[in-house]
Amino acid sequence: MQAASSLLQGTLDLLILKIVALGPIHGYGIAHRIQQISREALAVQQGSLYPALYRLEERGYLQAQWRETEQGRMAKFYTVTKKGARQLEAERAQWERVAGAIQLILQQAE
Amino acid sequence: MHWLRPLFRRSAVEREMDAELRFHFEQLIESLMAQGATRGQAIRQARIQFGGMGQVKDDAREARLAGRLERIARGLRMAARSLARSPGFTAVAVTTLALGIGANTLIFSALDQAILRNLPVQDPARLVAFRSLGTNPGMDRNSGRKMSFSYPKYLDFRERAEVFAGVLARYSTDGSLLYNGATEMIDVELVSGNYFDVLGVKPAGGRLFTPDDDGNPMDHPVAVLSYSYWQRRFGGDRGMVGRKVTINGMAMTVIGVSAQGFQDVERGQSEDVRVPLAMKDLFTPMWPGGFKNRFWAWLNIIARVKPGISREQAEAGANVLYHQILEDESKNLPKGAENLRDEFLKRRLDLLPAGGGISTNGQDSSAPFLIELSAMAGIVLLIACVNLAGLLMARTAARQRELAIRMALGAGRFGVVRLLLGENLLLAAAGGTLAVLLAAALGKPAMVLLLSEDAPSLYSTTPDLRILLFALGATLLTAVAMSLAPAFEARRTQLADILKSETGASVGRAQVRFRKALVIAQVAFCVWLLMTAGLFARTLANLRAVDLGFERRNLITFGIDPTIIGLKPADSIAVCRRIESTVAAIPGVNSVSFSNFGVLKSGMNIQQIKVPGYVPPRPGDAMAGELSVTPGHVRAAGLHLLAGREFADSDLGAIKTAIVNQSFVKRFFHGENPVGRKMNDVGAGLDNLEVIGVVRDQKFWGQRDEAQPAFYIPNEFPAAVSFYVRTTLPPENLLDTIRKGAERQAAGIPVTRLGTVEKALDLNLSAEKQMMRLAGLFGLLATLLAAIGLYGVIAYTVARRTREIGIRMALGAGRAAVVRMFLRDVAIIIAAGLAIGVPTGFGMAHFVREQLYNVKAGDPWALGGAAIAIGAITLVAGLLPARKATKIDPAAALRWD
Repeated sequence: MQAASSLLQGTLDLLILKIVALGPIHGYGIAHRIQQISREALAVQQGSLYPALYRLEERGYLQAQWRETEQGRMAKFYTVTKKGARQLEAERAQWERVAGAIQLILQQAE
Repeated sequence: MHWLRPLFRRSAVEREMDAELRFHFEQLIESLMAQGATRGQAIRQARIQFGGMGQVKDDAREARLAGRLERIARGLRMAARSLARSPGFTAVAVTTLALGIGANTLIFSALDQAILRNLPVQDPARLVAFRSLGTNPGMDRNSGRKMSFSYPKYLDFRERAEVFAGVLARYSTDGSLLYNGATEMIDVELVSGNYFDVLGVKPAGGRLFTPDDDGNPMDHPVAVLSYSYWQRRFGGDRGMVGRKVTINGMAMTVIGVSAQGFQDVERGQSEDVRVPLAMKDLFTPMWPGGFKNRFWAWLNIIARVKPGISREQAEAGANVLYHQILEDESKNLPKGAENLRDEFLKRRLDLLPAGGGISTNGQDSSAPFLIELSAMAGIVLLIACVNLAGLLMARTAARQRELAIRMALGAGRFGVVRLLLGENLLLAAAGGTLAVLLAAALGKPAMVLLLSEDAPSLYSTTPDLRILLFALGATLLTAVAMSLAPAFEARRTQLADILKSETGASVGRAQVRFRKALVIAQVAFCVWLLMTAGLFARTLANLRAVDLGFERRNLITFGIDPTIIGLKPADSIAVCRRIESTVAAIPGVNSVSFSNFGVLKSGMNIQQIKVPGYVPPRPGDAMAGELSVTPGHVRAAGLHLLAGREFADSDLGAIKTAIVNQSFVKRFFHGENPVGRKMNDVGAGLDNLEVIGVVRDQKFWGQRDEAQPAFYIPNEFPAAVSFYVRTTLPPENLLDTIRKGAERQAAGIPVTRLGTVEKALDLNLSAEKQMMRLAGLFGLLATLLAAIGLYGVIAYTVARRTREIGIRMALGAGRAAVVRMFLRDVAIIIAAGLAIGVPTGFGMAHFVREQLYNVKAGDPWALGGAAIAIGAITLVAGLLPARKATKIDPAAALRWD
């Protein structure tokens, strides 16, 4: 897991928003899902995850609620606000533009 | 209010964060165990992954504090915690600031009200007051300032000057007001009908005068009350409008009350009642009429300049008209003044800014003192700021290591600045708050001390907000500057050096040097302040010791004006005679007289005279003061008879005799014995007076007065007079008996200003007293601040050199040697401060030269006294920490890291 490449600066917010948009989820779940979906390629350090979550909450993109998990424990579940959904769309479009551009350069250079 | 939550519910938020992270941690362990790890392994692995719970929480917290408000609050909380750790420093810094800001706010508030503030009228900047210097043939009331004009001149300006939107005239006098059986002396202002219109003052009730109120003499028995008089005398009774009151014996209708806050066009004065100019004769029975006389100067003229015209343009325009007026008038100069024609035509009109009020009496009240006081307050603020700078710098230096560590850990230069900024701003805010409380608590007594002891009610005691903000701004600026300094400092010094060095000794040297320079500056400022206090103390002592030319002890005076209830001259004299004999019969009273002249009060006529054998240097330049006195005056007033005899009862009646003073003899008789010689043409029909005696010069206008030629004539003055009562018993004990006796005979006429002359003379010095008291107070305050500053520097040096001292002592240096180490520093600082302060102070003293009396600006006593006082106090402050250094235990110092 340590070998997994570190996340590009700024993309963590996008990933978190995307994961949370799939449905209410707690912090551990987010880290787990990112790892899972990326097939272990991306690892999120707790040290970056929680600051990012709080930042997003502070900005009004996420809201949180304490709720019981399937195992019957209390956890803080995050959901995306309307503002967060708009932000997700904007960041996704931005990411696709940048990724497309990078892809283009990489292909041209071959 | 959701966004406020994290600010106030810190612990709840913390708990929530804990719970969330613990949940995550446990999930991680569970998942690791699910993959086959033992619990112990899982926990260890989870710890590694988590990378330190504290760090995660810190970062998370940081992210949470992204809100700007919270970041500031956090900074302040940190600052408060940090300040609380050094309560001594905090107390000194806050006190320094509070004193500096508080003193400034109070003094500037007083200054503002006394000098700077404009009249509460419409657009005060466009008001101008008329003044014309030069010769004026004929009578001149309010002569001191050359600000009086005749009624016909006023009409000329009002009707013909095109540069003005309006021109008003006023004459300030006094009178009596009888209402509900009680008579009271009142300040009366005779005003032109357009007075309130030109000023733009609105009524608070009823109506104000209109140009219709300028009419035939005595046809307009109406009065407007000032707001404060209405409140004071009538309790703000709205029913007063339309009611009749008796003013100087005449029934007059109150038609209105002027706006609140409007006291007078004269600076620092107040009027009780305003009456149309047409009613003049009621108040000036001694010189009735005069509305047609072009050479009776008695009215102050104030005009409103038209919009779009500058004061200079208005002055030029008004002078063209003034010259035409003078040309016309010069054709009909009064008899005997024809030779003044050329001088007369040279007169010019000055338009003085009058937005802040006019000053007609020649005494600019306490204005000059207030300016010096504000300079002093400024210096105290400067010292306070310098002290603060020194304190902050020392604190930063002492925390060099802490700050270096913070920077090494990545706080960044800005982080450090932010930390210091938080602390310093908090200090400034605390100091400011304390200053406001101080100013509010001391407002009233301070204003009384600063402005006038008798009329503090004229001034508001609320500190001025703008001034408060200014002082606060100055200290904030200091605080900010001092917060930024370490950021630049840090760039120069190698962080590694600081971290390596044991005590940060090498780093502090430049700062110590700078702080020493600051203390030197403070000592120099203190010299200025204490020296000023010394100069005024000497002035006061000199003024108290001045020979006034009469015996001031055992002398009581009081005033009375029988004409204000409308008595005719003969009746007025009768009342005064009765008072004279009644008071004279009181046991303990030696002699009594009355005169038109009162000690420290005007009333003297300046007369043009002729003395056979005397040729004036310039035509018309043979003026002398004339005082009407009753026969007992030389004894009662305590004049010193040098030659001839005093008046006898037989001199009353047709005035044929006069007593002259020394200056008169010197001027008109070339110092020869004048007894038996004659004076001619003494105005008011007096001629051929025989000089029967010579008295010593009397200082008429107070302790600073220069002697002036004057003569006394035996005459029972038939209007406002001052009584002189010479006692054999202590005068204080007789005041009540005299008041009762006088009031019994006065039958309803108010007896005013009853008191001992000594007290009146003392009151006359209140400005000097205030100045001395305040300069002394400021000086001590400043010296205290400087002492604190010096103490701080030396204490810091001692702390820095603890190791060195320990080594020296271990090697056998005695306590005296240790004290000497620092004594040199202390001595150099004090000597340098004095060396700068004394010569510059010598220069500064020239600014107060005008207010000094028989003291040179470089008075050795004042300078030496200030230098010694400051030297002694700062020496003690500097030696205290040095003494502490001798208590250092060498063994402990060497172990000390």
